[in-house]
Amino acid sequence: MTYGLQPPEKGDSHPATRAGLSPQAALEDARRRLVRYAVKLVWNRADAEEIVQDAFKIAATRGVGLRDEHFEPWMFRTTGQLCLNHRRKRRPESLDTWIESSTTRTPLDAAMDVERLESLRAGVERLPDQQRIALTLRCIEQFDYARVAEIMAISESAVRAHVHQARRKLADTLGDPRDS
Amino acid sequence: MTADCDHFNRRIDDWLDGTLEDADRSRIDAHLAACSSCASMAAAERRMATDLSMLNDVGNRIAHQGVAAPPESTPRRRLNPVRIAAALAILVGGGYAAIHFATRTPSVNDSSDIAANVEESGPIKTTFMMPRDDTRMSVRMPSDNPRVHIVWLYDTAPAVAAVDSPVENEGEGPGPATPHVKPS
Repeated sequence: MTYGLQPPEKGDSHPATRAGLSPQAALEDARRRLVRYAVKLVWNRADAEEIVQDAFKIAATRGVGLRDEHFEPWMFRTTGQLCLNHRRKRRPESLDTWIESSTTRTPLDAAMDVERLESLRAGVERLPDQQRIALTLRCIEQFDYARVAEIMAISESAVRAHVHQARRKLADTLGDPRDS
Repeated sequence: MTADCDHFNRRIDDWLDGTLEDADRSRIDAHLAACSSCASMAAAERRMATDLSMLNDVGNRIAHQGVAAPPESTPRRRLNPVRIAAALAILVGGGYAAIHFATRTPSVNDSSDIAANVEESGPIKTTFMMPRDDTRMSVRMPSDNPRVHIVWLYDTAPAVAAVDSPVENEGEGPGPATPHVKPS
């Protein structure tokens, strides 16, 4: 597996600092996006924040910083790996409180949404690691294939294959429409 | 399974992403109109893509909880623990205060000026007064703050000093109620 916590090669400055953000603001910006990503793997904000904190600690001990061109992909890769290795301390958030507000339809629709999304979430968690990461980055976070490939340190076609297999597997576990 | 079904299966991810070439897209659109099996699979895939993006929204909301507002309108109205705590604090505090005021003698009698000042000061949003004979109690409760401040407008310590002072300050007349050391 290409997943490793290897420091990226030194390179140009981070896009955020190039965009004129102060290092402090750039780090905070990165932290927020990493927490968002980690939440979609562990589904608990407190756990996600701890994981991202650990990722920053690893970065600090390895001298990885904003000046590294691949800082952010590296942080995403490390955070993803920590999430996969994560031993759950807290229960994942139940989705019902978070879905209700997004639907203005009937309570029955909301309940069906919750049930469908809960089983989809469980299905994603059962996927093999690489497929789960690829699907989370591409279909949930909605990063483009090039960015996912950079984060996972694999080729774009490999990402496509993982995403395709993940979708097929989810369709199988959640009920193949061709059977109905 | 026809060649078109196979073609759709291979290109389904690009079809979902909307990144197909025109020729491919029209071939797939034509096939989906004709093949019910692929059409139902296409519908399910679309549904899954929508659900995955809903999971994204939910995840973002969970990540931002405490920063942004959590779910705005929940159909089930829940009792707000902060409000319950505030109400309890007022009940308990008020009851305690009533007993306290009834059983103890306040040492500061002209507290009305202080109370008036408290009532008017700064960020206090809700204040109610509980006047009692020659003293007052003011309870401050900023509406967006769960803490309830109860301001006692008299000093409870001099009650002890009052017991000691006849001994300590014997013959010296009224003096400070602070501890005195007997001259050796």
